[in-house]
Amino acid sequence: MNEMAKMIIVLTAICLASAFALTALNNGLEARIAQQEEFYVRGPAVHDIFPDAPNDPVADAFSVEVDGQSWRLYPWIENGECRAVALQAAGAGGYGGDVMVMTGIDFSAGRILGARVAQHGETPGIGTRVADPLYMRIYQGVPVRAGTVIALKSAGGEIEGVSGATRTSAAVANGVDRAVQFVLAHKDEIPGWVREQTGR
Amino acid sequence: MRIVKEFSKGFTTHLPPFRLVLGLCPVLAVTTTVANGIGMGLAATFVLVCSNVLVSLLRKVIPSKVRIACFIVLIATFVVIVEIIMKAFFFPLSQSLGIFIPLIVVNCIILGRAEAFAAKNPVHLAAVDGLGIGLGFTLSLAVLGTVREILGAGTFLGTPLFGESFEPFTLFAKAPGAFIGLGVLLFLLNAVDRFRLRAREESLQRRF
Repeated sequence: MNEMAKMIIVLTAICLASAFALTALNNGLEARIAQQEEFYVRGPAVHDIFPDAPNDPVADAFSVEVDGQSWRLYPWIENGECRAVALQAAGAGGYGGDVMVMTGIDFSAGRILGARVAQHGETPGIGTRVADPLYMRIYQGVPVRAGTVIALKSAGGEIEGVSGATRTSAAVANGVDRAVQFVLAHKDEIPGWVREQTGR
Repeated sequence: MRIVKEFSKGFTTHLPPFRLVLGLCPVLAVTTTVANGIGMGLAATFVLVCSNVLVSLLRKVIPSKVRIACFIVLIATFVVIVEIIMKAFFFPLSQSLGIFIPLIVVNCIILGRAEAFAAKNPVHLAAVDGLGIGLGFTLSLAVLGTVREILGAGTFLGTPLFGESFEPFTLFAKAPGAFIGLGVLLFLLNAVDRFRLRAREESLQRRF
């Protein structure tokens, strides 16, 4: 029994120490990692989706808190009016956790301008084919109206998946759909937020 | 000197992955360029040194029945530390190494050294052992990365070597090229060994 107690105590102590060390490190470096991700991942994805935005959507980006969830919006501002936003949403259901998808939505014209996979943990070579910008062009021009749901054809939607990577494709569609639902729900508020945040 | 011996064995009798044929997965996967190879090697070296030191320090405390679980928790902790630090300070490198940084947890070189060496030896020797094996691993990855980057992309550390007309041998940038490169390097090392052994035998025979 004594030996049993020792095993439990030692292993628990090691796990606790490990958890403390990792939490402290993560808290310390979280802000820096977020800044690096903005620079190396989200920034280039936004520039890809909005190649001819008259403003710099990354420099004008801001975060809003809606229903306890934080969203970062990258606005396309033309003649002082926000016409479109790009935003990142987590697509649930990937093999390696959530697939982070950046979607650009022109809410004045009611269509998707483009989507890019920003981050994922899928198996290299199989799931990663979905991250190919050539495949992601499938989302370009998809109409966004009240009641639009973005889903794969197999789930009753309009989007063609990548064969052999159905689950990853579905996760990406889910990420795009969450962005679309957010924009549809808040499209009247977004120009106001943009004016408030950027002072334009 | 024991310390020198434990350090240098990482480059000679225990050179991973050529002598200890362990940890082949990252060797094959990340050596598409020299920079990736060195980055992966240094990340593994850090984990190896830290885990060896802690395993050695705790070797009298850890009950032998749960030692593997304890080692894995320690190793996984250091791997996550490397992952967080790499994301914060070397973000492009962490993107190109991707899933292979978290996979250092299951790299058998690290658990192998914890079990075979660090759990039985004092701290300073364990640290030196980890450093030697880790740097040997880094060296091997850099050599394989050099071969594959030069043949597969025509560059060294990103600088083009052969001018515009060079057609890269793309096979070497892919997985089969990794196997071929590793096989040829293993062959060369074994051939050199056999040659040296035969030379020594002949000189012994001549003496008697």
